[in-house]
Parts: sequence; C-alpha cells; structure tokens
Amino acid sequence: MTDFEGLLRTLTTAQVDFILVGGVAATAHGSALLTQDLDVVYSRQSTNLDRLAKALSPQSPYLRDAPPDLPFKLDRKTLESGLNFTLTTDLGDLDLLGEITGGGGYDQLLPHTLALEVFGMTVRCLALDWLIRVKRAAGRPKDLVAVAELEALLEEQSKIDQ
Amino acid sequence: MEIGLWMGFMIEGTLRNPLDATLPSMVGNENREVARLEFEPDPVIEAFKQGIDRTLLRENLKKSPHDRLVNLVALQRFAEELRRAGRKARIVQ
Repeated sequence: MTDFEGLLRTLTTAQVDFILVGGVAATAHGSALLTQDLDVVYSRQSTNLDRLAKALSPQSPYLRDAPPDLPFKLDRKTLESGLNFTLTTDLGDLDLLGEITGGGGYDQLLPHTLALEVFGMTVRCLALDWLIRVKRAAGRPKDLVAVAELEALLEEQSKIDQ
Repeated sequence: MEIGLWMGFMIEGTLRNPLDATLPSMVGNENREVARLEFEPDPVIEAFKQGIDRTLLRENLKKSPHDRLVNLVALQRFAEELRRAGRKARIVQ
C-alpha cells in the first residue's frame, strides 16, 4: 500500500521541485476513482536531480518489475541518463516523470498548476483542465473512464463557479 | 481612477488591480492562468460520462483537497483489508 503522505513529505522536505499529476492529482480535484501509485513530474535541473536522489535514497528506490539482482542506484547520473522512472520504494510505488505526453516537462506545466494544502504541506498540482488534456493526449484505453469522470468534474465545478 | 484599481479597492481595501491577485484566488486557482481549456466532445468519452455517478463528485467537491486525499487513504486501507480477508478466505478453503 502506497504511503501518499510519506512520499509527498519526503519530496517536499527535501525541497524537490515537482508537480502532482495522475490519479492522486485527480483525487485532489474530486475524483472518486481509487489509485495505487503517486505520479509526479519533476524538474530536470541538476540541483533538483541531486535533491530528488538524496531524498529517495533512504527509501530503497528500485525499478518496478525489474529483476531483483539488477545493479540500480538512483543518483543524479541515473536520473540524467533517463527520463521516466517507475519505482518501488519503502513508502510505495512512485512514478517519476521527466515529461508527459500533451504537457511536456516541469517548466511547461508549471503555469498550469495550483498550490494545494494537503497533509500540512503545500504541493503543486496540475490543474483539472490540464489533467484532462494530458490524459486525452496519452490516448490509453484505460484512461477513458478517468477522462470521462474528470470532464464530469469540470462540468460540475463550472456549475459551482457560475 | 482606473476601473481595475477601483475594483481592487472595493474588493481588497487597497489600490491593487484585482486581476493581479485576488480574482484568481477567489476562484481557487492562484498562480495560474484564469482561462480554462475547452475540449471537443469525444463520442466515446461522452458515452462513458453517462455512467458517472455525479452525486459522488458533487459530494467530493464540497470537501477540501486535503480531505479528499485523507478519504483516498481511508479507501486504500479498506481495499487492502478486503484483499487480506480474501487471501485468508482462500487459504481456509
């Protein structure tokens, strides 16, 4: 079971620049669907890669579904060599995304985020309309129900705003 | 006096243009563009929308983002408990 609060606290305490996306972001906007992992888009700046690696190292990060004896070490070099990492950690499953389809990287997404207060922390979360945009762009059949729900949420939110 | 500054005075009690800060925060989206994206209706997504329980969504929208995540954690624990019970039941059989 993923400790969402623990993972978010690990990242925010280390001052990692990241944006909450995916299922947990959808929940923060009001989605009723369950999700099992935490998806974040992280800044690719060198200092941020250092912070990210340092923050996650004590949580035994490892590539999800990889053979158990693979020599994997999450450090700045590894992060620089790759882009998107699907990880298991002691706190649960974490997807580190350098870029997402239809949205780009951290810098492109940042203007389309909200600052949310959750678990006593301030976390940047992708705005609802942009969450729909990137899920539509991903074009995965499994996302269709989630997109439908997010669009329904946007419609309900618009009624409240009027 | 510029109309924006006058509105700022009326809303915030200061001579600030409310479009600079107050209006985005009034709609709950500080630090982002006010304009929302609009989407072309997709027939498949529209079909899936028919099955969405909007009463759940309306209830969720009454909660804060923090409370929504707390609820997710509670549901996650409940789902884990059900999985554990299922495994135990299979072992007993």
